[in-house]
Amino acid sequence: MEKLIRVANLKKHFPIKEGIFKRKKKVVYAVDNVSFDIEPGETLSLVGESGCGKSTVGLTIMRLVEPTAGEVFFNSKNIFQLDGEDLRAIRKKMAVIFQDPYSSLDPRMQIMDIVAEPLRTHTSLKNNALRDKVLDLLSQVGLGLEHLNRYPHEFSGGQRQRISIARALALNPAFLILDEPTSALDVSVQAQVLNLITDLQQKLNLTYLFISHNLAVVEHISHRIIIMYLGKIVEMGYTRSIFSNPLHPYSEALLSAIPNPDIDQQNQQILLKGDVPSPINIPSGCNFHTRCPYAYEECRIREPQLSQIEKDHFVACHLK
Amino acid sequence: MTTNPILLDIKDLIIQFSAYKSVVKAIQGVSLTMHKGETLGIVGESGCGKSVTASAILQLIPCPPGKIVSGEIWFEGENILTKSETEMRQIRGKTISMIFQDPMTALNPVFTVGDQIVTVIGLHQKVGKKEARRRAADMLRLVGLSDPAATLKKYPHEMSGGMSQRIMIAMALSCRPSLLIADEPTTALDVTVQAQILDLMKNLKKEIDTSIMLITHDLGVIAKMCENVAVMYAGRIVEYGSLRHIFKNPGHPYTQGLLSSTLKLGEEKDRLEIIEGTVPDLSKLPPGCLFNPRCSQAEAICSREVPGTVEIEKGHVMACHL
Repeated sequence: MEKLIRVANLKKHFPIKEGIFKRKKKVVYAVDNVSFDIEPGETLSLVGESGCGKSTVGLTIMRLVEPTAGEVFFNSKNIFQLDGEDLRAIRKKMAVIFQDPYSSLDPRMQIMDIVAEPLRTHTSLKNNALRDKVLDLLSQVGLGLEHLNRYPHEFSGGQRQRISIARALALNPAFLILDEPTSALDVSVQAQVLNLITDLQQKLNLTYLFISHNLAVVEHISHRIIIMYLGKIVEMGYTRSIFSNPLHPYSEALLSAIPNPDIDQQNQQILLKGDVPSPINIPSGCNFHTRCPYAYEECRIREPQLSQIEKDHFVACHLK
Repeated sequence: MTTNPILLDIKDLIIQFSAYKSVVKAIQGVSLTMHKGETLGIVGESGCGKSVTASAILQLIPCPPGKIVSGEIWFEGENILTKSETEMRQIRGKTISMIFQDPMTALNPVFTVGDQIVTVIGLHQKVGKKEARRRAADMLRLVGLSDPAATLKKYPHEMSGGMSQRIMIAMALSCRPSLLIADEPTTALDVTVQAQILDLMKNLKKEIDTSIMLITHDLGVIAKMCENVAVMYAGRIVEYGSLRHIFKNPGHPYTQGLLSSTLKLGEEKDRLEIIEGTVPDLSKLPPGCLFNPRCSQAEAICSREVPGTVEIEKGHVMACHL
């Protein structure tokens, strides 16, 4: 099948300057050589702990951050080579929903204006036609006429996230980036929003890039999963194969670390030593070797490459 | 556990906050008992009053706008709500201490970690500066920080979230308190670090012989850590029982909804079960049972009368008409 998104050797390094004269240069290796693709109608999840570069990948695909190297193709068009009108046209096809619904909506705009803003920028809809379109979008996310002239502060977290979703859907995008869409929400509300996200995908045939650190949510929502650690992909595969048979020691530890709400199945946890190293001083060789329980000599020296172990199941580890 | 003496007894606590043109009823008649050596979990969604209850124990409610309208909090045989500010200072950090959600903001950025722990030890234990520093280093070793002498000299910004939370725990436990209140201690941390911190708290509880009141919204954390659980909704405890009671035989429709809307690993579901609607506004509460507008099993009586507590099985109580 034709891929909707293809990311090839994407790199994003942020230089930081230190010292009195800002001469000492250091580099944050936020994303380092990441490649993957997304098929139409698929939900691909990027999973990892804070600082692993998952959000940077999302922002680079939207071209909200310029990459250091690499290519991103949307419908076979390299988005880093587009500019002006072409870039605007392709941005209409993508939208992003951010984590914090409290800061991603302008507090001084009414809901009508928030949802209408992309329509005013990109289409010629006006007056009643515009209003009808906004109402239609709001009804898709379970809001209605009575919410039209209210301000964001009058809504709860879950409702605000619905407004963000309505705004993202305004231009009939084909591709949505959801950056931790439910992390700021309570469990009962999280379930409502996740159901809405799944329903909309089926109804509008959307493709999702779902960024999250919550593995239970990821397991529920995604078709395929990428696990990232310090800017690199450590494991990639179908949801079922990753959860039933995690191959990378980091994936294994990550899965076992999730507190299980079933009291009869308290699994033995694999406790990792220490914290995630800083992305400025990335360890040599395999970047996970400082915390890996199975690390041996080679892991400190040579960097493992992502290779296919089973069908459609990739892992970057010397032990496999 | 019931054989142990009672450590904390909260009776009919009512706390209100005055807001612009309205009164926010944050806590409405919470009664709760904790025994020595127990780990009690308080679970609920945001705004249900779990943190306010904990703050009230240490009298940390900002007043005004907050006000403890009525109720008693008995701790080790004394009603601590009648204590003066000076007396409270002897309790805070010494017999009851607290760790907060965000370790990065809970530490003072302009003092070294060592200074901050030494201050706590100096305030409550009659020891010299040198001895206090030695005890601080011991505490850091106890919480698993490898180089205590170097860590004592560090400033909070030099440390990661997990390390800061270990320091908070070291500080909180430095005077061997009989009660440790942990308010969402791992919510701001990554899962692998969360697992480390929870493990540490479990081990230290045994070592220091303290009791823990663990406040969280994460049912997974509760299942791992607690012996007894209180489920709160809109300022009331709707269900209380042992871990097994609450997770295996939940009585209250809210507890049932909360458990079924929580995602579990390895579970395949096309749609998640949800609780309709949202938590009510605490200044405009519905009449009768506070959960009735969202409850799928609500009957006529639910919107008329506030349910009393009923015992479903021994040690397992809930507030529901059904």
